[in-house]
Amino acid sequence: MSDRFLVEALGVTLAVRGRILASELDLRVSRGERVCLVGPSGTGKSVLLQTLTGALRPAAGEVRLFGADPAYLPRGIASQLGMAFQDGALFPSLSVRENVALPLELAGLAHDVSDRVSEVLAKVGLAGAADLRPLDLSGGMRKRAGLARALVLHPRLLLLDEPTSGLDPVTAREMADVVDAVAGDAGLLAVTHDPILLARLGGRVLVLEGGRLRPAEGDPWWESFRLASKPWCSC
Amino acid sequence: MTGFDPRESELPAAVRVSWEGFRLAVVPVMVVAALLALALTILALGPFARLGAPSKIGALEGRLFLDELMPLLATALATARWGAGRTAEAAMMQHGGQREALRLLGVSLVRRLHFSGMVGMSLALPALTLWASWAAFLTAALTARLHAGLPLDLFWDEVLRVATPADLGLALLKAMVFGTGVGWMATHAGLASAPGPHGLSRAVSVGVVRSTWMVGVVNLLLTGMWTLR
Repeated sequence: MSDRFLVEALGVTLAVRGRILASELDLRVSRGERVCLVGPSGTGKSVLLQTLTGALRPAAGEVRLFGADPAYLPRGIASQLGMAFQDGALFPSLSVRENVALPLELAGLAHDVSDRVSEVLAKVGLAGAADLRPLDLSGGMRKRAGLARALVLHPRLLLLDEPTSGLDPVTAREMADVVDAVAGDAGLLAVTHDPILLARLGGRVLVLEGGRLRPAEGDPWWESFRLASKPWCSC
Repeated sequence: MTGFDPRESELPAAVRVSWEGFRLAVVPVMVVAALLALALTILALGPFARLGAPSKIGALEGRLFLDELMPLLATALATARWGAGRTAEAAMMQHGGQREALRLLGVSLVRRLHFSGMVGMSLALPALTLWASWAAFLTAALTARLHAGLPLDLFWDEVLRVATPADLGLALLKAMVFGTGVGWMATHAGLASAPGPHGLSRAVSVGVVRSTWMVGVVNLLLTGMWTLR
């Protein structure tokens, strides 16, 4: 294990309630690198992401986030990580502005809140919705608010769990543009099925299928995926 | 319920939970306590009057209400009103990603919810027990006055003869222990729930049933220890 990588997983086996989803997975994300994780539904992509963040423990193997055990991330390291959840994972009792400001407040950067929150909300196109509650937002707006919260600390690593799933094609394209623009030079690991997002982000593509993680080039599932996506996108 | 605010630290969250638990349950607790006292007083007054000692109704109800019924009643209604809501809220945050989002920000949602639930309810339930006892004794005294012409001061004398400050202490101690247990169990049931609507409904059911069992067993132990001391 090395701390040269933002994320490092070696020989990881994924299991949910005793059922093995995938085994012997190796994955590394370097500084500034963009990695997209694709694969059929139910193969464990989101479970892999949850394992990389320490929400789940691997059944076997080892995971390091910034060189540390992700299950016990010190607050200083945690603030270098931004994660956007599938449905935003916003706190319903807080407004969009308060949700986005939360990482700043918990990091003790209260003096910085107003400007940085306004800046990041403008970037994701939610400047006009800052005072709304999560329940008043559409699915796409919730995803963008979740992305804004993940970005507000200018993280070194951005983890995205299907940031465009469930969105109409126009909103999905807007979201893909936003992700591409705001990720900047942060390392990025995205789980997605969206050919538009894949094309926009570029970077390395990995396929999780049949319990194995492989580079996309030459993978039969990836070729089928590209063929099926051709009418919409040339990823 | 006003909902979990992740910006709150443990102690303010516990104070808010305490006030919420009290506010949600105080009216139903007082109403049910009064109705219970009304029924018990009417039912028991007849036999006591036939024995020529109607004032002994105060002696019967003094410890019965204070030591046993009111802490249990306050706990049951607080579990139903606050506990079920806390279980559902914790389950939604567990499966909606909020728990994980907070963990990645270096904050333990588990610790915050458990601490605020346990401390908050250990403060709310003694207060609810006091209000329930007050409503029950007042109703019982008025019922005995209107139904059997028993003077109010005679009823109170009998109550105060059997219910000592130590009994009040026992009632408050029981309520504190029950509150701590309910606060922990309601939160734990939500955080340990399975995903989906079935998981949520099962978690709420499990939280209420386990709290009820806990209260029954702890009450038996505390009453036993108190009686055998």
